[in-house]
Amino acid sequence: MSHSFTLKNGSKALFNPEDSRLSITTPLGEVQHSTLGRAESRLLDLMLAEPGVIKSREQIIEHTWNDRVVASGSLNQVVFSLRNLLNDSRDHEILMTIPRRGYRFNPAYVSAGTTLQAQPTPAPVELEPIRVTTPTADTAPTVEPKQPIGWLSIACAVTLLTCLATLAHYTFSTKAPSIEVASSQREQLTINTLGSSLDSARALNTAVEQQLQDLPKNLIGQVWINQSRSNYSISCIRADQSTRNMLFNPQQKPLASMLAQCLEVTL
Amino acid sequence: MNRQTKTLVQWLLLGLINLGCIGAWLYSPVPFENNSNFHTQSQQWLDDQSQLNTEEYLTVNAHRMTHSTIESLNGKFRHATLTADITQSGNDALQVQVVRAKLSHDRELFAIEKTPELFFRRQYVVQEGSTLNYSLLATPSENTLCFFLHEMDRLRCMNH
Repeated sequence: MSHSFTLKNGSKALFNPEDSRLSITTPLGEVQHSTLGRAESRLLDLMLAEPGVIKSREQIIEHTWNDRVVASGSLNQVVFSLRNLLNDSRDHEILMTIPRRGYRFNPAYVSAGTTLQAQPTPAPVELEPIRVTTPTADTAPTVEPKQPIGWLSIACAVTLLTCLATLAHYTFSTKAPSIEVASSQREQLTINTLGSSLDSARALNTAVEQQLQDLPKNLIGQVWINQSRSNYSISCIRADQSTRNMLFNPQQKPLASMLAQCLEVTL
Repeated sequence: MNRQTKTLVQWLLLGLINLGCIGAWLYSPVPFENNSNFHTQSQQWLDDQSQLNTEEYLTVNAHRMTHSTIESLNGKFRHATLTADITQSGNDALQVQVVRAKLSHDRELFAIEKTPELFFRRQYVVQEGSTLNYSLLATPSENTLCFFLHEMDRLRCMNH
């Protein structure tokens, strides 16, 4: 026995519980076949057997899992999954939740005379409508909890933002203007030259070394040298950790003597 | 793996990623956690061989820096104090935004004609809201601080 019904977008659906096959024909004539899982198939079969009749959670569990003990979330999961298949996950118009009572298949979506080879429902479980319509305290509450997918999406977005912010925080150094340094060592003196690129820093280092041939070998400390147009800017860290900075034109003041003066510890 | 387990794993993964990011923020390097004071002296030889002497003080913490300068030339003095908020900081760079600039009176501005380039650059630096970029240079000890201020093309080493 097959069941036929319509979906909200006008597609025609044909469900055959014997092989759990659901065929959906779109208004454009495209046919999509899918095979439902056992639980989804049993649930859809039960709901379509009596469209419009409310089925309690107990009835559904009994029919779907043959009275096996299953976790309470299993039914919610199957309903969720089936609604997704029927494109009914948003407003639950086809597979309706009846608060505190159960679920029912909306008869408005079932085509008239759609049950092929219509026969009295074989009823693997004989249903008692009265019992369904007068729920006991055991059946309540049957409101399906919200699926966590919405919160998960929000969490994903928040995580993405957090990662981007962290990335931006750590890439600041690469975005900020940078200066390259080339270093050379002379006895206990470290000479660092600056440049906008490593090549220019190295070129300055080479030029500086050539001008420091006569530099006394007993100088101790660190010196930083930058060339700005025709001027040299030098900053020194002396042996006693004091500092001194100088700006001069090397045409007027020889670099070697200025460097010695810069590193000279004041007594 | 059923759907509930999958969802749980997804939540766990998201939680771990967020924790990692928050941890990275919390433990990101802050160059100046407490107030640090530095000072130095500088000399600049002008084209006429006169010598402009400068004494500078810098107070900096994780959020704000104050840079004070006193310059003297031939017995005349001028001063400037710049206060800036640190907007970004890293191991080798610092970006600040000037919030306040206090300068000497105009009549004390001297030797402008000798250092016109410096004068014009300072107009940007002392403008409130200006962004300044410092490259921090690696020094052998925490007692010293060396930096290159890009907007002023200025190299400085300072010590406690």
